[in-house]
Amino acid sequence: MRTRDSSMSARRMLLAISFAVFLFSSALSAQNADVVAHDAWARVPLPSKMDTAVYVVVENHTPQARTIVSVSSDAAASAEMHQMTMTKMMMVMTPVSQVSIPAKGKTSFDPNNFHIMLFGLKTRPAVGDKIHVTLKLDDGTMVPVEATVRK
Amino acid sequence: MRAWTLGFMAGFIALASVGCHRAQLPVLQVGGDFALTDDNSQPFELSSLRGKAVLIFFGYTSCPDVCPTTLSKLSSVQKQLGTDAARLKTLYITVDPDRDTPAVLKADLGAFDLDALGLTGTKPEIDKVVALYGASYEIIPTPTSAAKYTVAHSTTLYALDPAGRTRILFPYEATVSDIVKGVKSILASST
Repeated sequence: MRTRDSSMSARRMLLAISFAVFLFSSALSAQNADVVAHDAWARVPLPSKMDTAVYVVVENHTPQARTIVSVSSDAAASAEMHQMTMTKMMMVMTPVSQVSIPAKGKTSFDPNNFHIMLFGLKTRPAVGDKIHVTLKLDDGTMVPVEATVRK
Repeated sequence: MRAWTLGFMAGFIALASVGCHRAQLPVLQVGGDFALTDDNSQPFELSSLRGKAVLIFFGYTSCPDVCPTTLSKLSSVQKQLGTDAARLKTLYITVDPDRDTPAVLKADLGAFDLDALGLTGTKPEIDKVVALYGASYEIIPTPTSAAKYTVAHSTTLYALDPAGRTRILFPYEATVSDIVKGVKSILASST
């Protein structure tokens, strides 16, 4: 009897563990894709412009460094990656062809560094609207970005 | 040492002294009167603003980061100044006169809750003001970009007293409260 009890509780334990592992891994696959984008926002365009800048945090959960090799958006005629740098109190804006995301790390596109520039927006977005952008990685992965328009 | 470096050192010293009571703000060696065209296409002279403190910065409206950040910051400065805001005017001088016509400047500055006047002119007119204030800019062609070119530019904010003399240079990193303190101290020393 004792043996059967302990083997049953061991089986139950195994079941519980495998269920927990299943839950954990499905949660991982939902939220922890290899590379994810979050906290994306875009500036509401200035009245005379149909261009805007998009900011986003890109996280790489893999042990390999990844590179964003291009960006695209159906909302605009063209999308580019730019970098703002301050050199001797001079602000310099430079288009960049790629942006790397370190292994198990993140890269922030923010007003003090990189941004995604959208030129020729097809419609004028208002505060609260969403703009969709896609990041293409060096391994071919497409990372979706949904940016909320802010002031 | 270049003029802007000297200017900055003086500016930082001026900024440091803002916190001290009764400190006399130095009169800096950069700046002076100039004439440009305002965003209503009317001739503008700095001397028309005598009696008000003036904040001046150089930028261009296609600039996505620094210029809107500075304008938003100055909008907060104006709010925090309360009644003193009536004694302050902000001047936004474009370093991209080809794209920043008076109409473009007026439309884009209108997006900010700020008593600012956009100024433009011919390239030689703008270059003269840039040199006068020890600012700098450079048109950088970007043939692979839809922008065609970008404009690298200095990001200093110049604070002038009601007599039109430059009293404080704020670096880009200056906070809203740094600028509010600076403007208040300029206004206090000239009443």
